[in-house]
Amino acid sequence: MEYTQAEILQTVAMTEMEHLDVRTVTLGLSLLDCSSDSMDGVAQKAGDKIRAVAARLVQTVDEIGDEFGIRVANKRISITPVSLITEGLRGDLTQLARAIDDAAGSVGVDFIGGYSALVQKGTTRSETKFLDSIPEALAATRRLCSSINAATTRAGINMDVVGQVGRIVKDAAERTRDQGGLACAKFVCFANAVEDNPFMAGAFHGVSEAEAVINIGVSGPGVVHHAVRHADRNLPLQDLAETIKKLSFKLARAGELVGREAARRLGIPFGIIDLSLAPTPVIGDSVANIIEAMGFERAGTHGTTAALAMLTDAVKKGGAMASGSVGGMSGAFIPVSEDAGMIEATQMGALSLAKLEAWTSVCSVGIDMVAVPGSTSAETIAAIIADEMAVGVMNNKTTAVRIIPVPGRDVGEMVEYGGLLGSAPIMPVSTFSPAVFIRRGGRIPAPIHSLRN
Amino acid sequence: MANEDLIYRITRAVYERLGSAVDDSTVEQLVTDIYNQVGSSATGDRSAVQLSSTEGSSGRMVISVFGLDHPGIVAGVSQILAEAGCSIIDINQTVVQGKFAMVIIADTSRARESTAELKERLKNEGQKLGVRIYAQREDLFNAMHRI
Repeated sequence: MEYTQAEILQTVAMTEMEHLDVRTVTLGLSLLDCSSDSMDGVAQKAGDKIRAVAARLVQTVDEIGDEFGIRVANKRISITPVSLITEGLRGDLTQLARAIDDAAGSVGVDFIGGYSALVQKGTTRSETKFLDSIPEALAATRRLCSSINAATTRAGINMDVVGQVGRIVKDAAERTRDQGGLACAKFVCFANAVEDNPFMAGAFHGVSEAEAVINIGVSGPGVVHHAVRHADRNLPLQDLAETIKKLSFKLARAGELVGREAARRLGIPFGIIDLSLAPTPVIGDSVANIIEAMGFERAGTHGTTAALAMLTDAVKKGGAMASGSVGGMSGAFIPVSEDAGMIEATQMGALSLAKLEAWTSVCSVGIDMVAVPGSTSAETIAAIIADEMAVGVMNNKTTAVRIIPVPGRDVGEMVEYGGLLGSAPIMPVSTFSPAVFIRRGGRIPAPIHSLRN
Repeated sequence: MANEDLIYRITRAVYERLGSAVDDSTVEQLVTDIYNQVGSSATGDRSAVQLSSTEGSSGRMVISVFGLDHPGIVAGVSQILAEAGCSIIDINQTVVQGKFAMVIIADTSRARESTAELKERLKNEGQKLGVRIYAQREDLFNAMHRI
């Protein structure tokens, strides 16, 4: 037989028992040709284009998933940052947000990302107005996701924007008070945002991208957890890293096959594969559990930054060897509310916001799906974001913050979002004020290593 | 890229002519028809223009069957494949301590049924036989286990 029984069994076990899935097939779509002389015109053109190009996305991807026996968990769309196609226009941005949301709903995707602005260095008048529109746009829509790039290694950190994002987050939470501040789960603030990220809530279709592309996000914490848990307890770390690397290679190969097939059938070029260990609330699909299986009593204790660094690096190496089209973030995500192991570790007091911040210096993105008390000030939220932006800018990596100040709730309580977003234990923040620093505004200059020419 | 651009331009033209109130599925069908006509004559490349094709690049499936051993499992599964017009290329079956495991590589390129229908029939047969049957395209195994 062409394959050994062990090989067949491994693939079947991965797809059927260990939650190997393609986490998302994301259609990246340029809306640069949808600008118009009125907001109504933009809404009409954008809605028409999304409906036309994405018409067969969901059905085609589901068919492919069925044939390969690999679940494709989500079908999504990322679009050109909306601030770029509304530059200089008067009119109601919320109406445009609703039109995009409706178009996404009519083609059957669960999220559409790109209500975004790239404002790492400065903001135009239109962009300032656009930023102000974000809370209402998020509260008025179901599927629309928003992101802001507030810093890059080349430009430094736009602290005026960071301060404003603190207020945006508070406002968005308040507008969705009865849903635990759900709007904040659809908003990300980035440093060094990538243009081909297929994962929500931070996906947008970068300006340097082609007309349309198919990007794939492959996941598989369950597969890696199974292997690490069954590895010999005395196995040296370099050998454990090798095990993870080999598995990641297989995950990436499976994902790319699905992605290229989807691209072929849809007649849209294949973009990138983002191999990220992205947890889900399902038991056995947790990044925290992988870390614990490496030899810790609980995720969040001392040594877990080193473990996460090794894990992220091994995943990247496996992916890079498997495919010439690895992009996006590629590494490991650490969204607290979406990871059963992280929720448990937080509840036991093993995992703190400070440790999460340390983790973000070695994982693929940043502080993700963290719930904090509703009484947290806009300045404190801006300061948490500023810290995270600094980690990204100084280390030449993508970092991000997705944080929810849950209105009316306090430390120790849980807030339920349901589905993939899971449930979040509310974590304490420092009660000492950073307000004077944040109110200074301006810009933190780009680091010395940005001067590379 | 040319294909995608062409599809988009055709779609725009159809919407402009018929107005945005037109039914989406009608537009999709029209665009598919036009594209197939234009694409096949313009490029002569059939593989690139099978817009609504459900055929994959691999005509083979790996069918794996696991469960407790009893008479009739091989017969039941191969009967379904025969009825569907699939031939068996390779078959490997073992029983260890009463546990049955079988892997079949089947040629489905001339199958009379769609992959979804075949999978559904195999699933139902599995329930009848008390075993788990998984059917996956062969190129998945090739991608994961061969360089």
